[in-house]
Amino acid sequence: MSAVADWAAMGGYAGWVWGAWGVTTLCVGALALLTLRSSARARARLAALEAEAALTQRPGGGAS
Amino acid sequence: MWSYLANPERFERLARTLTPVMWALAGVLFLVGIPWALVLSPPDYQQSDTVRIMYVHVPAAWLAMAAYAGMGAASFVYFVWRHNLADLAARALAPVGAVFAFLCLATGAIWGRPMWGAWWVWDARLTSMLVLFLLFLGYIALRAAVEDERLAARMGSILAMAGLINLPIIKFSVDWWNTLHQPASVLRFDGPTIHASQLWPLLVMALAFTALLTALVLTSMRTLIAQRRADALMRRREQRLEAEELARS
Repeated sequence: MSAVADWAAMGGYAGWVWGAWGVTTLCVGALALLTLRSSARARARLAALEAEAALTQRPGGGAS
Repeated sequence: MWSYLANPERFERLARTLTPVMWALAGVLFLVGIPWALVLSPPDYQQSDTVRIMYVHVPAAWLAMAAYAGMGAASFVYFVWRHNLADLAARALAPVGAVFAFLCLATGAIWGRPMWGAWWVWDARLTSMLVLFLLFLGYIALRAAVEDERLAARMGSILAMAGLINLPIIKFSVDWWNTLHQPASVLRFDGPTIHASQLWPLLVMALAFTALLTALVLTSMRTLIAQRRADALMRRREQRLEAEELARS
């Protein structure tokens, strides 16, 4: 067996070790992705509303 | 310190630089910690390579508890001083803590099956950790169920503070009861009992997860602040549109 395959076999416990690391990667990755996505969405929404508010507050922009 | 940080603008200024630094730090620490844990560290003489599960299981357990301690402390600050940022911190910590608690339980079950011969036993350590996971879920559900934001914040802070009693129970469960789970081998009064070749990668992984937790919580807190500001602007916009409607009619 090659050194890499030997390592990947994890002394016969490959399923357990890779399973535990896999579920960790999956959950942490999903959490990071969702957190960053909702952050980007919230910032975009705030920026759009702020731009609109600035526009309406300008003299002649609509509101007094 | 609380009053200093309670100023949202000061927090925003601090968080703007600290957040990317924490994401980067987490990345670097994982780049060091993962190969160290999976390749360089030796297999255990009793547990063979399953010991590599420790490098995700133990940091997940520590950080779930740290997240809960942070949530409890933030809830206390909110409950006593009514600092909104403290409430935002508690809210941001809850989902991260829930994920880490879940990971601790899941990786523990995966480790328990080959080593103990059981996915799960109703042992004091495992059960108190399950209670921690349920406390996070209960907190999230409570915050989502109560419409009035201030009432939700107050109720959430009471629940979070009451649940703090579970933390010493988790920590000392392995000493107070006969458990299948092993006793502490790192955080002990007489020093760690695990070998340096396994302790160092464990500490690097724990630091990596800590940086990641900090990055996630700071990002979520900024998201919540942005949402709150956007909601306020939205209300003002609706009022303006209504006023214009009235003026036209």
